[in-house]
Amino acid sequence: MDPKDISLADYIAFFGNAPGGRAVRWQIAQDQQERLVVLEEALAHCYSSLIDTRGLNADSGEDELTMQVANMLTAAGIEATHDRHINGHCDVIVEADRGFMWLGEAKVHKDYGWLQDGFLQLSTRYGTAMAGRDRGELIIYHRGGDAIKVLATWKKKLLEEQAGVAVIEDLVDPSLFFRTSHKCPNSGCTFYVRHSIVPLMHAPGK
Amino acid sequence: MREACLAVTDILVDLRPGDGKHLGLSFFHERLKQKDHQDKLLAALSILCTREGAILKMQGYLDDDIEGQLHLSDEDFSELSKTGQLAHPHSGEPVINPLTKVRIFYTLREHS
Amino acid sequence: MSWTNARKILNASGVSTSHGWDGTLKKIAENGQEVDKGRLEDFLIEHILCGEKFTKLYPIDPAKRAPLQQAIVSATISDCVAAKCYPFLIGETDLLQGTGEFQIANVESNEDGVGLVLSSVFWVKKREEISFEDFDKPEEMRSRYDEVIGVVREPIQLFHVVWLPHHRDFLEIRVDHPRGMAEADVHGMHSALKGIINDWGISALEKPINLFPAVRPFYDDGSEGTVTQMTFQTTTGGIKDEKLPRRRLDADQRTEAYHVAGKEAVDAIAIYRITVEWGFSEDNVTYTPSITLAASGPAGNGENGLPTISGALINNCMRATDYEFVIDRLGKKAQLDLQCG
Repeated sequence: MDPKDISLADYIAFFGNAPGGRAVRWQIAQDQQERLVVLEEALAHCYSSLIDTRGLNADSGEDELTMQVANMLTAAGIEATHDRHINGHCDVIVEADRGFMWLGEAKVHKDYGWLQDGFLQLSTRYGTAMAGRDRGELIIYHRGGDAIKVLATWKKKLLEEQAGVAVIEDLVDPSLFFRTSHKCPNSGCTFYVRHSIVPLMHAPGK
Repeated sequence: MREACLAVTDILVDLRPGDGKHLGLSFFHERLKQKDHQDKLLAALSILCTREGAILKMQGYLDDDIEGQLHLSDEDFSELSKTGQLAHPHSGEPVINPLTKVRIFYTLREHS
Repeated sequence: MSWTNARKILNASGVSTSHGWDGTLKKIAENGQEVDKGRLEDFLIEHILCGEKFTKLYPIDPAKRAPLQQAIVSATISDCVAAKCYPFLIGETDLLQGTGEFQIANVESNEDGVGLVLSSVFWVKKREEISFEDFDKPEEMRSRYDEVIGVVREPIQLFHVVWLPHHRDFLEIRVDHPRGMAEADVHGMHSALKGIINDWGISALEKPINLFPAVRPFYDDGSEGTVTQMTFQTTTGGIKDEKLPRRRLDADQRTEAYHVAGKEAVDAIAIYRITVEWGFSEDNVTYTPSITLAASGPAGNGENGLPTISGALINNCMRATDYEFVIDRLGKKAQLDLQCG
């Protein structure tokens, strides 16, 4: 047995700097809020990866894309399962100790009614908003271009169609997400949803 | 990844009572027979540290010239991982390049 | 004072801390935090009396208690910069001019006892890492060395205490024992302080109480803190030095599997050095004091050829709460009430 333990620097370098740092922070997170910060950083990394490989994934459906997200998270040390049965069907689930559970519902954007379905599935069917389980994400894969406009339109329609939903953070431009809160009909607790759009248009000019 | 996690768990199951207080990466690496499991070791350990009912805990210590291993509290370790900064527990002076001087290991949790 | 303890004291006084001393001072300046200086000063004085001390205990005749107490409380405070600055440290210029001479900085009196606080300046060797960036060609240095360490001798101010507890029949001489100080220097200072007290002509301090009798009872009592280091000789002739570096309350050398198995393989072990640590909370403050009792070997000039341990290194104390806790434990294990008569 090598008596010298690995240094934190070498551990982080093993994964590649940012992912390695996230892996450490995931393991030693002190509370659920810290977990969420690390998870969202990891998701940003996953979405970037999908964007970078969008040409190769041009024909991939929701399941295939989401499976890639789940696999990337797991490879980074964040256990994510795809397609597990939680009161129906939820695309991605990340669980951790002390009751942490994050739900991700993924949709390839075709129309806003489809996104409404996704939001309702997430917020009324799967999410319970109990402590540590009050966070979810609507992942919108979009191949049609002008993702900011689509997300802004989605936000507008959501607020028009869903009473009781409030926008609590608006970073549509430039960060391609916004957050909402609403009262979970099941538990009565507040459930928070981050709506993220992943721009996957592949139409190279050259 | 599931198989890698199970392979690591198998190693832990074989530990004698009282062992499991200080498990370095090399300890696991030497005992994993498949290269695929070795390649996934860090991710597997991360999962085993963080899933519900986690059996392992990651800890860190500062390799001090005079006192040897100075174990970091959970708060100091967490702060280091977020900010990259660490004040020496004795002198209060900033540690230069703390990420190279802090070493990590795993401990079997009490309830495991 | 270690940063770990300083941080606890600052937090207990309502001061929000940051990374180390500099980071904390910067945070206070930026936030405009209100700092209860009076409370911090009280803490500082308690720490001067109790933190990081090598303590020797001298039995005293109860009839001499009153004159000794009078000598302490009426002692003339030295006309010196250390007394003027007390309880704060003297400035760098005065430090560089400081000598090993003992100067009475103050007299302290509280519910536990009365004491003289004496200041002296001592030069310690300190190792410091030198950043590669400090060199003209950092990359060249980085390619040649993993680390570059400089050794510097620098003066530090020490606070020693001659303490007469109200409720124990011995006098304590507590010599400041910061990291990096050699044991020989500590004993030298003890000897000098003892000489000062003997010069009063009230009670002739002779040999300090031998604390070796406490070593085995500390080891045998599994409920008494955690043993983090011990040195012992085995009946097979080996000298073993075992250490558990983790500062966890359950990391006890007594029950560590390797130690237990080794002990069972021999007829007996003769322990002559032991470090015991405790952890307890009071008023939302966590105390983690420790005591080290160290003889130079398994045999000595004590009774029946046993070693003598003339003093205890009482470490990591923040204030009187944890210091008195350790002395109380030491008293029980060494049966000091019997030794003092």
